[in-house]
Amino acid sequence: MAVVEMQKIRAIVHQPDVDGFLACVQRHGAIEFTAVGAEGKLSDLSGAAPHAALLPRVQHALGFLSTYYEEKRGLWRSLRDGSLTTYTEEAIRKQLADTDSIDMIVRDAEAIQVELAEKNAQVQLLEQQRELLKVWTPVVNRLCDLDTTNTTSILVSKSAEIKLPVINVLEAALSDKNGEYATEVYGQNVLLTVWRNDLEAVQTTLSESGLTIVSRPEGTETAEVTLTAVEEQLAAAKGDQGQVHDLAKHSAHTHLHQLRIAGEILEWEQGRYATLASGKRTSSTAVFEGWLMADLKTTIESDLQEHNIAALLEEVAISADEVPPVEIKNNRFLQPFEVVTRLYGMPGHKDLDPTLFLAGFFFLFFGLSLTDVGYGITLMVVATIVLTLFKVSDGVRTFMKLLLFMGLGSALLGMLFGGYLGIPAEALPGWLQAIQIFDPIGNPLPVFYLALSLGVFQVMVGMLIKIYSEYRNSQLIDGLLDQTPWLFLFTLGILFVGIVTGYVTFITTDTIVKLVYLGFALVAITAARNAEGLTGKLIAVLAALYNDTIGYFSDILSYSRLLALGLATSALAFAVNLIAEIVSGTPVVGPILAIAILIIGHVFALVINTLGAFIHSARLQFVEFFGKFISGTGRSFAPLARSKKHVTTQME
Amino acid sequence: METMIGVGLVFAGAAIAAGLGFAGSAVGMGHAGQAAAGVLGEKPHLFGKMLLMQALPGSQGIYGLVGAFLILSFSGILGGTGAVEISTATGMQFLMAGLPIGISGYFSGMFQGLVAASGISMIAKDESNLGSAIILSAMVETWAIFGVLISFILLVSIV
Repeated sequence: MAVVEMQKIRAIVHQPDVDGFLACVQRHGAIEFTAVGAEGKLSDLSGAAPHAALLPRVQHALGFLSTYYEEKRGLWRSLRDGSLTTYTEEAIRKQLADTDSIDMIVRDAEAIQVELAEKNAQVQLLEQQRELLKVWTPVVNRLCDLDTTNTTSILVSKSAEIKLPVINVLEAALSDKNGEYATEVYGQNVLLTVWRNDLEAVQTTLSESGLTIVSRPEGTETAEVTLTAVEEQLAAAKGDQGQVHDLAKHSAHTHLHQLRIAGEILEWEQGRYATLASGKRTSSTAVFEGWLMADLKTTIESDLQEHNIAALLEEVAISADEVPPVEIKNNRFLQPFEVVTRLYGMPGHKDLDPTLFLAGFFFLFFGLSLTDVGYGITLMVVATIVLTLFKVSDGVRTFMKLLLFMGLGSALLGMLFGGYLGIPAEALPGWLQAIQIFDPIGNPLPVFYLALSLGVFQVMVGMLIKIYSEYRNSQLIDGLLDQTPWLFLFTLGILFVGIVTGYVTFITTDTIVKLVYLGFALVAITAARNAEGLTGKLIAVLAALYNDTIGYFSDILSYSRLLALGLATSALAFAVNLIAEIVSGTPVVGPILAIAILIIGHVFALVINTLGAFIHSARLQFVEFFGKFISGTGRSFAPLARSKKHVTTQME
Repeated sequence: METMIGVGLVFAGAAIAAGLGFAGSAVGMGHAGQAAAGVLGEKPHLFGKMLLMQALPGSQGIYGLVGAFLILSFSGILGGTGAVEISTATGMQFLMAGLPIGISGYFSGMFQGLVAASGISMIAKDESNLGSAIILSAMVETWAIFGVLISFILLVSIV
């Protein structure tokens, strides 16, 4: 339950064993490699992955074939089977040793892609020709007869902005030609015949008048005859195109899975060889440096020994300006709550892992925000189904475990708050009504005070954790001086509430007030201890009194959102039931409509309220809690590790 | 008649508290959401952090909701048994009590959204800026918190 201890290590590896060493490290995901510092006689270490040229081709083929893959399994089946394939280490070695079959699949995919590109270009060209020929179809002249020795014919059209018929615009434009041209009107267009010598000038004149010249299609026969031929060619080309598409689909369904696995294994290899760039070498060894998770050192060394890999891992001193990466590790009960911690970011390497502390609060706050037995049980059922019946990724599995806890919290607290899918308390059995303690809609004030009290509690816990954190960093005195005055003031506040409500009788409000003055005096004194000069100290005191007072006050009030979110859940569920009740009176279809509204409405309410409960419960941890004892966001540990998109490995 | 006016004024106070809070959060979250969408187009792995930043201006709507419930609860309309008799003067007091939380909720929600949007840009450049971005955004929320406080003080002081 902590930030994992990181060791700075130097690995010295016998050169022939470098790939085996990196493969072992990658299997365990235990070392984040860093660049080896320039050390005199060491040369750069480099090397190309054996399949460096194949990997990009595989990735390209995957991109191409993925567009043709259609999942044939139903949703249930695909969730049951999952998308991960388990490979043994031996199978992985075989895959890397024999890539001929993958190369053949890739070459086939490339050939299909080339052929498809050709067919697409052919179809596109024929379609362009068809569109052009459609414009020329009214012209009865054969295309080969449009040009004679002295004359040439062009088809003139106009843009939509010109309202007058083309012939009128054309005749106006060519008014200086004294009729030395011929025209034939074909619908919206005009076939203009001019002397060859005049063609260029005519084209310029037409262009200035806003008229356009339609390109002439290729061919000898009339446009209509040529169009028929082109359409036949187009149909044939589309048929060929369809066949190539079918070939691509068949290839995708047959080979995509194998290609994905091969691609991922090749990416692992590529990752190992990319690490070489961070290393150095001597004449016979390779040297690497990096950060190792201390608790995995023995495991790595055993694995290296088992595979007869000559490598030595030695710990080196961490320099003052080096910041280790951060990884957190918790037991199986707390591990789901790492989702929330990782959402914020890793704690600083000297900070505590907040997962342990946030787990209980997050469980409680989520439950208070959702506060419904029905919704809580639904979440638990969904999470249980996914965890027991489906093969999902580690990330989804962890989130489902978190959801299971959240559902449990919601169900338990829902019983205390009378939340049963918006069903009024009066309609519930007596034993369920007896369990209910709070009535958030009928009497929200106790819930409001409860929310604020939880806020006070969490803030005080944050202060205590800060003291402990400072103690771990050998700054206990600073921790005590900073936190104790405010812990004292908060305690006085609790005692005051106790006096007002009659639970505390051993102290009077007058004494409390005097102690409050003392508390603020302590805040002022401790705030000024590090400032220099009278002005500096005064500013530090005023800043501390103002900022801290306002800060804690706003922190506490922020917890009132727990009341609001719980109320929103109840209100939304109530509204769904009300609408269903209204429509249920409709003749014939009423009951069916009501059931549909209940299902859709409650699912919607569940999703919206679960999202809100998660976000706001997390926000309370991040803003009001973490800020008390976490100094900064650490750098996530990024080891050389195997991705798990399509392949998991089975231990031999 | 006077009771009806009084109750109407209480409803108005609750409506102002809730409505303006909701509106402020909607505007603020809209600003932040637009910025987040732009970042996610290039860095989809930041979705969790972006969602958190977008959620920050949502507090004002929650405070407005809380304020509305408190107004209705303190006036005896919510949770009371039987008809409630509220004079016009008392109703006016409840209306006034709804104003701090409503007005501060609207403006702080809107501006908190703008700060959250800028914070999203910070995070896009460097993910470790999340803490700073949250704090900058939460500073604006301080005034909504004061609005809640004053509204609450007014509610408990109603004669």
